[in-house]
Amino acid sequence: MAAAGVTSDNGIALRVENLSITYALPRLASRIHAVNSVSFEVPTGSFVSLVGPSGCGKTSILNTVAGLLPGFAGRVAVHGRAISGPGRDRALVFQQAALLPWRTVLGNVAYGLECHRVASAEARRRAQEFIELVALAGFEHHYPHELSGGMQQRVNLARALAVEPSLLLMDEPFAALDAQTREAMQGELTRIWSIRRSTVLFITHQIDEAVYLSDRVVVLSARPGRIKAVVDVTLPRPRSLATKRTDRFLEVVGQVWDLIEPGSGTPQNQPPRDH
Amino acid sequence: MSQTTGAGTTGADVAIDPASVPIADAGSPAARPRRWGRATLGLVSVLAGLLLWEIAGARGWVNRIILSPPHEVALAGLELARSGDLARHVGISLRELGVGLALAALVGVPVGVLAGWSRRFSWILRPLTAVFYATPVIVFAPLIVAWLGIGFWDKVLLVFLEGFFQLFVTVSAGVGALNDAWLRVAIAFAARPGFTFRSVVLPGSVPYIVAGARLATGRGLVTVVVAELLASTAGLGWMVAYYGQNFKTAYVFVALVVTAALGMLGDAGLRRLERQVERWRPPA
Repeated sequence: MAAAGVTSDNGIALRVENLSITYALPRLASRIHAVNSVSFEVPTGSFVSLVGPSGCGKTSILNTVAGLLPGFAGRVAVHGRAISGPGRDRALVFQQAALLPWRTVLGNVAYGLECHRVASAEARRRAQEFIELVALAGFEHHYPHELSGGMQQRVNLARALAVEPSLLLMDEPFAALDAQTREAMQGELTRIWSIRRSTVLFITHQIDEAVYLSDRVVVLSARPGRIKAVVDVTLPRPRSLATKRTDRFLEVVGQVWDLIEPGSGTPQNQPPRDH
Repeated sequence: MSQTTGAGTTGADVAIDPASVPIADAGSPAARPRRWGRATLGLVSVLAGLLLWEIAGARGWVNRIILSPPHEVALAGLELARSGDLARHVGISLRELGVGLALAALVGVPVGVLAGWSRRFSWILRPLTAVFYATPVIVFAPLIVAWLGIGFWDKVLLVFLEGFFQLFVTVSAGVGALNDAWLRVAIAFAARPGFTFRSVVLPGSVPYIVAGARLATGRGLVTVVVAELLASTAGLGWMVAYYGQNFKTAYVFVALVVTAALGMLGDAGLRRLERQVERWRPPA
């Protein structure tokens, strides 16, 4: 991949080198190798997806980058600095929205800022901008249980965007949504990304989702997760949901499928969509 | 939520489309008439019971010393109210209960939250509280009377113990079962432990604190009355014991009715509070 020996953060927001993650199973007195010597990088301002089957350790990689999983081997550096635990330079969009049910939309979006010691009034003022960005204006004073699943994920996203992280980590944020809402949210995410241009590391098991959203797709094998291929997606931006219907898009999706299961990516024989 | 409208949306009972009412709350028009029906039926049943009781007394089916008819209880109540005796005894019982519960909350809530939050702290406290929680607090009454004498503070201590253990057990279990996802959010956003505690642990445990307070109040009232029955110079329990020994059954019933009313009132108030703090919870 990239030239070896580069240690500065020259245009690289996240550098993962020889990352291995092992879980101990004390009850069985054994260990599981979840991730085996994975290296990849996320250039500043780009959108990179990690795709792979369930159990390939992609969420473990994300949690490690988020600083939530301390016991790993290898090196993880954000803008050239090795991570040691959670940090204000990163923000996580959770798979389940994980909103605080006693806080309104406004309070939840402001919550990340408050964790960063921004005073509550100022945090709420800044949160407003991001509520508008995710198209939830008018819902500021709703409680999470009064929102649909898709709206809850918008709050989840706005909470992470509001702290203006230099690296945005997204853990299968649309996995729990129904197909229609999921499509709509993918469109929303590209719209928001084209405005904010954040650096994103996105986890998904859906290849078409990864291709549609990303500049680069890192394909992982099944457990223990290793890198199978890295595909640069050169589809023009801005992309809309219509992009998904173009031949060029289907071609790239087919390429990625071929890398995972040779022969499965031919356009005449589209594999069933993974839900 | 609003995308999924279940199958079979025909019939009169689905006049309200759930999607059109994003803020689900009590008081939907369909529920009104049914609640009226329940209240009416309940009232009829109570009145019928009182009438039967009255007739049983008037006809001499039961001995009046065993069961005073309602009108005699009412007259006795009026007399006790006019003389100020009732207010005095109720006041004493309520003060014992109130002071005991306030102290229990002051100690039980923070200790319960800490025990739910810190595993080590709970290891220290669990064995002690397990012993006390399994024992009916009222059995300590004779001991406590021996220490503090018969009066105000022995009742306060008993209520305190009862309330403390109820609150401790409920609150520490609730805090221990706090949704991990909420804590993960705080950790992922690099919150300091103090802020995590204030912003997740405390608000997350409010429903358990209120539930514990409800239990503590109900059990505390029982404790006060029983402690007064055992040894006292005033209070609702004293009234029951004193008038009972003097065969003034109607006066005993006055004390019983007032005790029941207080218990129901307190519980209803705390249930309202419970519903209010759970407003943000999904409707199951």
